[in-house]
Amino acid sequence: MMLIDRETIDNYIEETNQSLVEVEKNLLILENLGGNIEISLARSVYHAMHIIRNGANLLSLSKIKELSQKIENVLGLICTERLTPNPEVINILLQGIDRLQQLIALIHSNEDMDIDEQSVLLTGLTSAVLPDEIKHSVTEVRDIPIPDGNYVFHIPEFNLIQEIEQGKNIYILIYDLIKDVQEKNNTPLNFVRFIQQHGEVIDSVFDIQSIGTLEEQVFGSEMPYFVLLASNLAYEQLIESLGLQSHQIKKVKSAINDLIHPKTESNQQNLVSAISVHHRKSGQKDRLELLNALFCELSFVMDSFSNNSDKEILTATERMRSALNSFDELLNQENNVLASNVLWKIGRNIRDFAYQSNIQAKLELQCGLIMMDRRILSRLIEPLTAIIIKMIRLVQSNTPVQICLNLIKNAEMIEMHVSFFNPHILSQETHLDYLNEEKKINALCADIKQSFEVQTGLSVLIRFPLHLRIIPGYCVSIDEQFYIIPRFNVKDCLINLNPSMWRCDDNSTLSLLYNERCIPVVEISNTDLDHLKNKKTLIVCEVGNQLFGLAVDSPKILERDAICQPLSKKLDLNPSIVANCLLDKGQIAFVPNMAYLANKLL
Amino acid sequence: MSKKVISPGQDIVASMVPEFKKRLQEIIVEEGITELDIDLTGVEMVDSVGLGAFIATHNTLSQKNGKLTVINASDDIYSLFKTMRLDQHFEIQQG
Repeated sequence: MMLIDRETIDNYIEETNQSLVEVEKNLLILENLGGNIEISLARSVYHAMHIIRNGANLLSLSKIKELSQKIENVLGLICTERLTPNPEVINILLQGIDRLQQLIALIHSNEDMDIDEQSVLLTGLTSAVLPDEIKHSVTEVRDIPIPDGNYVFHIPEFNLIQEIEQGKNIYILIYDLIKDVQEKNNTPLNFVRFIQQHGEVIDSVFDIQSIGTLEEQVFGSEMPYFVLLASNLAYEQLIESLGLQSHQIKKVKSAINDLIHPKTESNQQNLVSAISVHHRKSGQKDRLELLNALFCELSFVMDSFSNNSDKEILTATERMRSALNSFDELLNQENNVLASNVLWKIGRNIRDFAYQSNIQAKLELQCGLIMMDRRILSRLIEPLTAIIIKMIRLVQSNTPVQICLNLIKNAEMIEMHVSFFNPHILSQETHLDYLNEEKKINALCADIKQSFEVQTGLSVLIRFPLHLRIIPGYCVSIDEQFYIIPRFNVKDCLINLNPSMWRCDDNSTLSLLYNERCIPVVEISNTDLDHLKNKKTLIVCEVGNQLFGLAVDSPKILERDAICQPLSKKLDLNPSIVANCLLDKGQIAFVPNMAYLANKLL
Repeated sequence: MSKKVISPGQDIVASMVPEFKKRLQEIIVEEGITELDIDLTGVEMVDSVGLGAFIATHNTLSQKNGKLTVINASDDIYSLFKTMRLDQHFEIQQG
C-alpha cells in the first residue's frame, strides 16, 4: 500500500513552489526595506519556510528538510532583529531558496545533489551574528543520552535552541516495535507517520545490539526504538494523544537545561500542515456551468443561421463571435495571471546582476492589476532582463540606476514601457542594440521599438495585442521547415520507423501499419512517396474520428505553445496551413490546417 | 570479498521471515558471502519483524566485516528506512 501517495507529493511540490515564490518576493522586499525590518513580513517568510520544513519532515525529504531548516534558522534571527536583512544576507538566503527550488524540481532524484555550499554559507551567517555566548551553538553538538540505554542522540545545539524558542518541549519516546507495532497489527510506516503528526522527529535510533544477529535466539523477540521528538504538546497531552504508558516517555530537561531561556513571547501558533489537499471542485463546477451556458448560446446561434434574412445572419455572426471569444477566455482562464506575479522575477535578476557587478541598480515594477497570459509573461523574463541590463550598462558604473517597467492596458493592447527613473541619466542620445531580444519578443506576437527624447530620455516600448491565439502543440520539422502540430490532434508518436511498416495501395496512397490497422499518411510539402518513406518519425494525428499520419524529420518532438500570427497574403493561399508563429530563436513555424489535411484523405 | 544479490520478490513480513532468515544464514554463514545486496524489486511492504531481519542481517555481516546494501527500494520503503535512520547503519538505494 502506498502511504505517501503521488497526490500528496504532488500537492507538496505545488504548494512549496508557490510558497517559495512568495518567500523570494518577500525577501526582495525585506532587502529594499533595509534596516527598517517589517517584523510581520519577516515572520510570514519564517512561517512559510517552517511549513516547507515540516512538510519535508513528514515526507522524509531529508535534503529539503535540512536546507529549509538552515534557511529558517537565519530567518529566525531576522524576526528577532538579531540580523539585518542587508544585501549580503538576502543573497545567501536567495541562494538557499534557489537550491531548494532545484531540489523540489528533482524531488525523486535529488539524492546526488549536494547542499554543502548553501549550508556552509547559511550556517556561517547564523554563527557570525549570534552573540558570542551562543555562537558555538551552530556547530556545537549536544549529547542527549537515552535513559537506561547505551545510546546517545547527537543533535546540533542550534536546532534544539530553535525548537525551544518555538515553545516546543523535547521528549524521548521509548518503543518496542514488536510489542507496540507488530502485535497491534500496525505497520512501521503508519506508526512513524502517527508520531510525526504530533511533533517533529528530531532524530531516532534503533537499539540494534538488542535485536541481535540472524543466529541468535533473541532475534524477533524485541526491537527497542527511541525517538527524540519536539512537540508543542504538554507531557500529559502527548501521553494521551500517542497512547503511551508513562515509562515510554521522558521529558528532556537536564541535558538541555542551559539552552532553555525565559521567553518573552511564546510561539504557540497552530502550524498549518504543508500537505493540505485543496479540492477546487467548486471552482470546476462554476466553470462547467459557464461552459454549458456558452454551449447553449452557440447552439441557439447555430439554429438562427437557418433564417435567411441578412440582418439576422449578421446578428447571429456577432453573437457567435462573442460566444467564441468567451469560450476562448474561459478556456484560457487558468493561464491568465496578474502580470506582477511573474514579472517580479526580472527584479530578482536585476538585483542579482547588480549584486554581482557591485553596482547600485534597481527595477521598479508598475503592473497594477493587469492580467496577462502566463506563457507570454514567462517568455518575456529573459529578453526583458537582457534589455534592462543593457540599459543599466549604458550608465556610468558609479551612478545608481533605477529603471521603471510600467504596464498600461488600453482597449486594443497592452503596452510595456521600460525607461530610466531619471530621464537625464544619459547625457547624450543613445540607442540599444537588442536584435536578439527583438526576435524573442516578436515571437510573442509583440512589437518593440525604442526612442530617445530630450525630455523623457531613452525608453523602450513593447506592445502586445489584447487577444492572442495560443495553441499548445508539438514543434516538428518537415523538410527543413518547422511546424507546430496542435497537441489535441496528436494521438501518438512513432519513432525509428521500419521500412517494412509502410504500405502503398493502388491509388499511390502511402499507409502505415499502426495498432493492426492501416492509417493513411498525408504530406504537407508536396514530397514524393519515396521521400516520405525515408522519414524516421510519424506523428499519429486524430481529427474527429479520422486517424492519419504525418511523417516528420525531427528526432525529438518538442512541446511548444505557439502564439499564432495571421498569415501573409502569399501564405494565405496555401490551404495546408492556418497560421504561423515565431519560435524563440526567430525561426518561423507554421500551424498546419489539420481539418484540411484530414479532408484531403476523404 | 564475495558478493551476492538476493531478491525476496515478496513483502518482507512476519510470515515469510523465518524462511527468509534461513536463506540469509545459508548465504552468509555457509556460502561465506560478506557483501550482500538485498534487491527489493516487487517488495511493497516491510513490517516490524521484517525490519528486524534487515538489522539482524546487518549485525551478522558486521561481525564478519561485511556489508549490507538494500537496493531497488520502493518510495515508501526508502522513506521508512530513511525516517528510521537505518541508512546510518547500511546503504539504501531507491528503485
